[in-house]
Amino acid sequence: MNKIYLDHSATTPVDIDVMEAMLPYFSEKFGNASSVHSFGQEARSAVDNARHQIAEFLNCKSTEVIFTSGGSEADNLAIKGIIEAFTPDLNEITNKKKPHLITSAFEHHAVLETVKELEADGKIEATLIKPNRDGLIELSDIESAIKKNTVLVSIMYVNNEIGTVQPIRAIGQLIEKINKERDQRIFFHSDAVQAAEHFNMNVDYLHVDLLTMSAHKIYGPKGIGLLYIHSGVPIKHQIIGGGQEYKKRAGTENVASIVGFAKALEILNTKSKIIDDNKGIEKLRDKLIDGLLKIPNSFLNGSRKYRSPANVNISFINAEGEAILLNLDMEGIAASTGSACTSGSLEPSHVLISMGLKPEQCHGSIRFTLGRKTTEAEIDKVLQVMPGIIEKLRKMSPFK
Amino acid sequence: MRIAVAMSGGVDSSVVAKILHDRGHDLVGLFLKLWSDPLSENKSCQKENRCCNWEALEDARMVAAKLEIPFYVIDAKVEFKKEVVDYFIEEYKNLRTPNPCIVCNETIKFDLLMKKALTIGCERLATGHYARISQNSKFKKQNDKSKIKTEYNLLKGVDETKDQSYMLYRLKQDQLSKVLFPLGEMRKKAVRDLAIEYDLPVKEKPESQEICFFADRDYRTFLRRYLPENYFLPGEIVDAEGNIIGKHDGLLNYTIGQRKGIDQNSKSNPSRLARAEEEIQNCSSELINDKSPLYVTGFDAKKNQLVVGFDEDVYKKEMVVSNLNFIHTPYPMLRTPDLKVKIRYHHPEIACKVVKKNGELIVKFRKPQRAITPGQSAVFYIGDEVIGGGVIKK
Repeated sequence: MNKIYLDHSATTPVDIDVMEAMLPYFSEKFGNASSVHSFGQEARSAVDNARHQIAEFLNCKSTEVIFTSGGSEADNLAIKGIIEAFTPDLNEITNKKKPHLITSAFEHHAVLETVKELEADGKIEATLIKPNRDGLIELSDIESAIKKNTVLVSIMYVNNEIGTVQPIRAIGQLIEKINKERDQRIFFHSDAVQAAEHFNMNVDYLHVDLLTMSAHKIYGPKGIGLLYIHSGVPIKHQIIGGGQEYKKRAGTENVASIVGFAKALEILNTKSKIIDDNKGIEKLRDKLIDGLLKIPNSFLNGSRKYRSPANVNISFINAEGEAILLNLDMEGIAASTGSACTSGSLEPSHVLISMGLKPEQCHGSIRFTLGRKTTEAEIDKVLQVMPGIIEKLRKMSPFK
Repeated sequence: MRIAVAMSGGVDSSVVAKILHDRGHDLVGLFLKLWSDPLSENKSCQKENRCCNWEALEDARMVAAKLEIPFYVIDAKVEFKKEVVDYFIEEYKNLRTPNPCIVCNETIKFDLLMKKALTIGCERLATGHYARISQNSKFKKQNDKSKIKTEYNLLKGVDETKDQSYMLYRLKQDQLSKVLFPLGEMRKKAVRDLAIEYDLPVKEKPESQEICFFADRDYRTFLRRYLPENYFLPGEIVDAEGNIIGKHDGLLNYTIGQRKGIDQNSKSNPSRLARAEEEIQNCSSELINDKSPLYVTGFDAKKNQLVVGFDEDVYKKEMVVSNLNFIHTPYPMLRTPDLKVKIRYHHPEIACKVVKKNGELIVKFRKPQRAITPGQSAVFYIGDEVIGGGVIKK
């Protein structure tokens, strides 16, 4: 059976060129980048080059790139790092009020759970902004949520479940404007893990202070991510040890993965220069959306206009997303019901709930995320099997 | 044929997967994630539901990976809590002794899990239960041979010491028609030997037999977290005539037929509760009557009284069974002289006669039986065959 992979938001295959760039750094150039000798210098130079390349991609300084074990760690570092760096100063400015944080109700769990835990521990005050029915955060909602003790706004760039693109640049500019008129500066973080493949990642253009990225969503290796931290933004380290990553994240550098991360970005850069790649994948996405919506009682989740060219998320009334997923898997088609971390649970998606869907409308949602190698034949195959699966499941549905 | 295998990570279900895989079936492994008490986790015992903790999940997944079959985790936490755990608590609230495994089989394993299996195109659900299913075909009408009706019978497992048919008597014909019990024809030892022969990753795992959804050693510790305080208040011990003869330390610490201990000198001490059962075993010196020991014969919930009597008072000639389920309905064979009943799991079968009355059964034993326990199931057998059963009302 020819398997079809349509879950690129979960992870992507490592590009062969990326793997080849990494290979020398396992057994041959194995040095510790912190060592003084030639072995160490060889590794250090590889890390330096990679960091430099990545900084160019983000349009920032090398010293603003902090490597982490992945997106989740970068999100944790951004949020806890800011809160902990700020708490003592803030107490003076705001009469010992807790720092206030604004985020959205449909963030990735790495952000949402971090915020909820800080709130439960009594360390912060938090406002969770609900997206509108199209899965978009409204600027005015952020503006009206800002308080005197607000220190951080964290809004994701592209939602991992429904693929909607948030107005990061506009939010960044808004916060910049507001900052001019207040004592307590507000910092702006964006989890851009799902955005790098298709959207502008120029931190200057985006007006962000902090930005999270992960390599394995862009055909790089798993276990490596980064946090862009604008110079001067106070961050309390979360992992303590040696002084790596400008004392912001201890631990021996993951040299091979850092090299792989840079190579993945290099490939991404040249790819979009050669062809307007988004257009091709967008055509396939639209074919899939239009074809699936021909199945009765189905609807697209999230704005169609402000949407990742790779994301399709459709709900089918009276069919369980989990059952659709398993049936597709039996046909060799890999999809998802939400983010990979929550699949397998019957809990309705927090993303869809936050958009105002009823729990029973959320159970039947399924996500397809397309990738660089997705073909029209694969889309056709999905469109061929889906009507039968939905019809079968509706006959057996417990929701009737 | 595509078959779903309920995989728990234990030896039995792993061997089932291997056997069916060798027969060339298209297998899908399903692992049930069930509710476990979050409160017992927060305390010293960091354990998930024993049947479905992370370790069990990894074991099951390793077996599935070894057989190269797809493997899915089915989250039934909400349903299990509602159907099994709430029932368990509710029964104790009414001072009855529940059988959670029977309810889990009826509502979770052979209902929810079965439906899941069917929705992914499986025609059968196989489990590691030690029981057998046979089938016979009948003509629906005597003269019309075109309409053949297949009926399924539930039989004891060949290994009498492992037989689990008692736990399965609530299954219906449509469930039995889609269930496979490959271990029903086997002995436990042979199953274990096969696990070793196949070199399954779980071959050396010990058996789990206790209630799976809490890690406490004693169910009373669990109940204390979920029942109001008044269920654990001390009260009076009375004899059959209502004469007060001592104090008990909470009705939930006793079950029918239990040889009870009376601490005449001290008041109830809560820290003792967890050890109550143990103490009761060792309390021969504390007997109120200096000649014959006393046993629990009943409860008076309203008065919070524990009723005790002599050993002969624990024996009953009959019982009432309600909430019935029969493998074949209606079942005329209840009148057969070979009818036997099991009044609890791991209890010898007893010859009995049955009279139907108002949708309940009045069961008369040939010989009086000790400790008839309301809430436990009574399951009727003829030879190896399960006829059906119900829940003991009184």
